[in-house]
Amino acid sequence: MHIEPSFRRRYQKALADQVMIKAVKLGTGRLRGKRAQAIEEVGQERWANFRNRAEAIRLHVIQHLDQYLEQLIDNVLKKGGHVCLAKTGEEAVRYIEELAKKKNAKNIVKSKSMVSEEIHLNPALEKMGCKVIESDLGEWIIQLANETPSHIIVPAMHKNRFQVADLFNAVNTGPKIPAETADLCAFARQYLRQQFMNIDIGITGCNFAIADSGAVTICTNEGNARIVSALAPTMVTIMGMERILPSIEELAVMLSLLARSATGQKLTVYNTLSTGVRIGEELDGPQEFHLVIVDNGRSKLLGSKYEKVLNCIRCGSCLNACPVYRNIGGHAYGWVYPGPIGAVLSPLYQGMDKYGELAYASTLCGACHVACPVKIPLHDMLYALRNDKVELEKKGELVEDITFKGWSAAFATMSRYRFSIRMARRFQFPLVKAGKIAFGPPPISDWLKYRDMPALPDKFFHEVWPELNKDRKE
Amino acid sequence: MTFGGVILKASLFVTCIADMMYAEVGESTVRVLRRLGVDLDFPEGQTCCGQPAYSCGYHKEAAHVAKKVIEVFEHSERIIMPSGSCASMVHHGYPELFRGDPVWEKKAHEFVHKTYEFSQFIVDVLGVTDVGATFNKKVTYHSSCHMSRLLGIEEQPKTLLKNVKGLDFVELPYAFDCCGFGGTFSMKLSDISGAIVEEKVDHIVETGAEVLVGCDLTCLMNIGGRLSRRGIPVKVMHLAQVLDQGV
Amino acid sequence: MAQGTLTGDRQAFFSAIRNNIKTPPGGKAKRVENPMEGLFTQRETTVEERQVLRDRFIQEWNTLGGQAFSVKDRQELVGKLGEIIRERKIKQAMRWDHPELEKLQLEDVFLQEQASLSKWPLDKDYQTWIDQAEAMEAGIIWGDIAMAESGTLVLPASTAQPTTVCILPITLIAIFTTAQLVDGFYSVMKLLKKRYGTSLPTTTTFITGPSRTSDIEMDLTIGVHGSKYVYACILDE
Repeated sequence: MHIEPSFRRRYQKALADQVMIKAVKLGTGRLRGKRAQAIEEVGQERWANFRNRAEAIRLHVIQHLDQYLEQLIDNVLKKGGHVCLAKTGEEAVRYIEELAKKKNAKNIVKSKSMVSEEIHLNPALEKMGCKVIESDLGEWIIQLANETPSHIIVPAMHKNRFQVADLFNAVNTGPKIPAETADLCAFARQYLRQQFMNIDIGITGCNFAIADSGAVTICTNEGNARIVSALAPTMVTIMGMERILPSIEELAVMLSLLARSATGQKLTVYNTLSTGVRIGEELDGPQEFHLVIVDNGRSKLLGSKYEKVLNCIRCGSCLNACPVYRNIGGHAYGWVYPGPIGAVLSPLYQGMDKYGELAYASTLCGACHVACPVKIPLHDMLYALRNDKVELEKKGELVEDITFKGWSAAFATMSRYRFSIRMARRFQFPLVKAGKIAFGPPPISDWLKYRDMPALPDKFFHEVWPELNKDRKE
Repeated sequence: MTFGGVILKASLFVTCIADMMYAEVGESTVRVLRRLGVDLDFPEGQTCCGQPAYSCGYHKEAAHVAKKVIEVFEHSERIIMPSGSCASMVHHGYPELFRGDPVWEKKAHEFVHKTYEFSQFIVDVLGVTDVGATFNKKVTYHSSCHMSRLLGIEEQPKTLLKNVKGLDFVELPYAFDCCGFGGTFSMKLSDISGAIVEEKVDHIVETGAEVLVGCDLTCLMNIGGRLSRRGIPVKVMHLAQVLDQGV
Repeated sequence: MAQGTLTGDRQAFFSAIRNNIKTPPGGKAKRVENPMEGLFTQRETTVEERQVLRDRFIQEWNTLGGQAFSVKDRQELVGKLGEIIRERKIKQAMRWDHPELEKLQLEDVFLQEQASLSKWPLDKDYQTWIDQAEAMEAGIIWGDIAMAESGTLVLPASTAQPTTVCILPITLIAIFTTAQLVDGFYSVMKLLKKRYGTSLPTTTTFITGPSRTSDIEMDLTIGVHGSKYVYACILDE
């Protein structure tokens, strides 16, 4: 494994940012606790049934993705919605740019969409002169800070209220807002409400599209997506093409799992099921609806050993469960999806060359797999990605290549194994002090940076065995 | 002690980490199991389960070593490993390494079926929950990741500990959180690993325990190494060592 | 209604999918029949049982930070509404155009409190109604379906019952009878399916308590975008 200096720089910067780390530990700790409590309430056995059911639902959908997408598209078109099929992120961006131009849109208000982060939509629209405002509180905070989300469901988890107050006061024309959560939220409500009142185009993400009804489901606790979809004359919903369910019956299962996994709630406060364009005499709701379905690397995962990663419902519980995420936060991962799901998605979507090393940013503790509501074997995928990196891409590190070739040759034969550990014991003496090693050359110097290491003992177990076995009758 | 009149035969796969660095853990394992009436042997030729290479993506190299291990234990009826992550390497890594191999896949599965982690063997196979040990200390227990999540062994070690006379058991907060070892992770991304083990050590200190017990020597080496570096006088012991006390 | 248009190369988009989807050795995973079966409670309820559901709804809704109460008749409801109007200092409110709300003659209650209650639509002109709606201090709706186990209002929207009324004002007042109560998701989805098939209303909103966020320091704060004060008045049927 070769760790790129760029990744090293990112995580070292993160480790040094005590304010951020404190905030992330607090946030993930809270979410983890709430989730555990929710599962306790549901009962372990019923929770296991929920996960099995959800996995089975997702598996079926992914293996029949073409059918469900066709059905969804036809139903959306039938209800007067427009559909854009975007093979790449660029195609999706271009479509929305053209729409903004056609509508002569000045004010674009968004509710949270991870795919829009993935395709870098905001900078493109801003470049055209549109004012783009994120309406999810967390997303708005990081927009003001000119940053990217550090957590899938709590995008500004890494910030504390003093930092938020500074950001808000920079756009505030009234009296200074104190760094108290209630005041900050009240300001956000009032400021963002003004944006909603002048909305030309609303852009939302999509938690689940329902194939048989041509509907999209958007879940928010704040209600911002609800306002966007009620007031925007033109509404654009961006969805990753795998975010689809056959009917509202499956939706009931998924919504129940999503809220509990993400925040420990029984249900997200606002779950909106929308078929797009207003009908008859309706006065609210969009007059124009555009569903942008994005591939952007997803189709190549179908049928592969990584197919199950498409089960993901973006609840973020693998992030909260991950000891690495909890200690470096989201930005160190480098792309939009952090944590274990990011360590798998980033190399698969963006390329092994760019993000392959993320597969090594894990202790392989398996907490992600256990936390996942749709049972994605993230843990196994991290192993598989490492193997791909070594064998398929020949991207092992030279030193490590030699080490493991040598190790394999030595450890497959007892005599060579025993010889090599005896040699190590013989030559460790310059490093040993009072039975332990505290300083040494690379690579053990990395270990010794934080911990001592016991010295190899005078007797190995296999040297003790004959004595132990003296009394045993064969 | 016999089990239904039969003396159980088993083989010790001591694992390379115990062989190299913790011979005393191997010794305790042998003594405890023999006291329970197990006829234990130590097949010559054993080395390492292959986990270091497997975890780093070097599957071919891991398979090469794993084949040797399978051969060494070919005639063993049962295999006992005093290390949770090595046992889960066998249970999860071996079938994966040899998937689709006409000869070795079957052998790997046979190997899996007769392999047990130490505490699992005592509680689930022997049906013993009190080994008759005495240990007058305040003790806490770290639940290793692969052992709990991949093998599903959570309660067995704690049950055995709680039945040790004189032992004052205290739960470790976030006992299931990883200690940050992760094999080469601990060296390659040592700064992150260092931050994770620091949390673990803080939680251990919080309990006020005098002894930290685990079933996985690499985790114990990691946590113990940090405790030692910080000069915290908490003793680190493998479960087998505790069960070997005061008999 | 005019059919929408499709942009992008449909064939290329789908061939990328079809070329990659593989049929695993045991065949593709079958569709899960009855996906909700066994996960949720599912029962037809009697009037008496719905009183138990009512208590459960009240408990859930209050835990979420809302206020729910049971009222015996219109007279008791009027008293409660008066309290809410005074407590929240409501001067103007809007309500759905719904026959059940019509029957309750809520306008009188507001008049008594020197406040006004407007019925949707406020105006036909977009900019006019938007400005008016934004000025409203409360929205009154009929809780069409109420899910007891999670404390959730299920609100299928229509021309006379738009979502704007239940999302814009800072105070939301939902009125319904115990006859609207169902236990959980199983019953809700079956009911929606029975009622609409696959032709769902343009929006169906599930509201579970007041608008909330924990985006700043995980500090739970109520009312960031949607309703901050949410009341549920449950009439005996």
